[in-house]
Amino acid sequence: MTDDQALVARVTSGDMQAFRLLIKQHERLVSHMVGRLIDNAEDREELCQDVFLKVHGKISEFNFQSRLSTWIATIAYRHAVNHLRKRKIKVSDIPDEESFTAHFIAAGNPEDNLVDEDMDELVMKFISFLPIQYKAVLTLYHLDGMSYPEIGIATGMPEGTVKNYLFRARALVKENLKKYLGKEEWL
Amino acid sequence: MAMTMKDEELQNKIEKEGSFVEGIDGYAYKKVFDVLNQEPSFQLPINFADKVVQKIQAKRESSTDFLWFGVGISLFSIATIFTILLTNFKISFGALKFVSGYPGLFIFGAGFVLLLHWLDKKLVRPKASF
Repeated sequence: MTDDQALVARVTSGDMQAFRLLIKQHERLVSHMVGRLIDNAEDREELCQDVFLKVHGKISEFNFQSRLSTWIATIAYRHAVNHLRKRKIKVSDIPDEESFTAHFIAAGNPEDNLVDEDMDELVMKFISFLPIQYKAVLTLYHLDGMSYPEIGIATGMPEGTVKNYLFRARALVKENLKKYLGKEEWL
Repeated sequence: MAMTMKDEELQNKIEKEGSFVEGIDGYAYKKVFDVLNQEPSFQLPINFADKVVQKIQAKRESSTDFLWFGVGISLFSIATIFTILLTNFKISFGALKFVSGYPGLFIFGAGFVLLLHWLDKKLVRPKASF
């Protein structure tokens, strides 16, 4: 019996201490997903709580087809998307590649002499402007160390799409950042 | 923007080696990767797990309360039906027939209660400190 199986068995039998442990093990994963997809800081903690309430309510349905963390990431992703839909925030498919890229890169307004902290904030700002599908893929890959197939399961995207979104998202942010970089900083 | 081979190579190189790659593209990618790997500022409180567990327990208790409320209502209804059947009780509106002879009194009573509520709302509650 794997650790996941043992933990799930304990939670299913009503062991709240085991559920506390499950939360501790996965709260970073959920907070990464919710934190990056939801801009409103007031909603974030409550949404994370709702994700774990849903996990507790549905854990008996977990069939070990994937890792427990992947299953929890799926719930967190869907919950965040549903929340955005309720708030009438557009979460439709990625817009037309060319027009979106042009719009995304044109949105910036370069300033001179950025210091390092400014640049980090700037990159974060560009990431926050990306479509949520891109943000979800970036988060699961970079912060939670998930593989392409695992991200595919969590987000319901084909593996090829995951890979494409990951590379494109990083390239878009890089292109925007380039406009802000003074030549003296990289020469 | 189509992903160029150069972009893909640069991303792979920075990801695998984590090293500095020459040129503005390499520098910008390095920055992007560094920020993407940084832990975000949003963190859950230390007692987050306790809060979730408390919510689950409160939910369980409220559903138990609701169950007992339902049982209580059912028992009360059964007892009422048995009492009516055993005592041959018949509903009578005799006392209310008295009011039908004095419609003015009925209207005054209702109006007086509404006036008291209005006075309470306007004069008493604003001065009360809770």
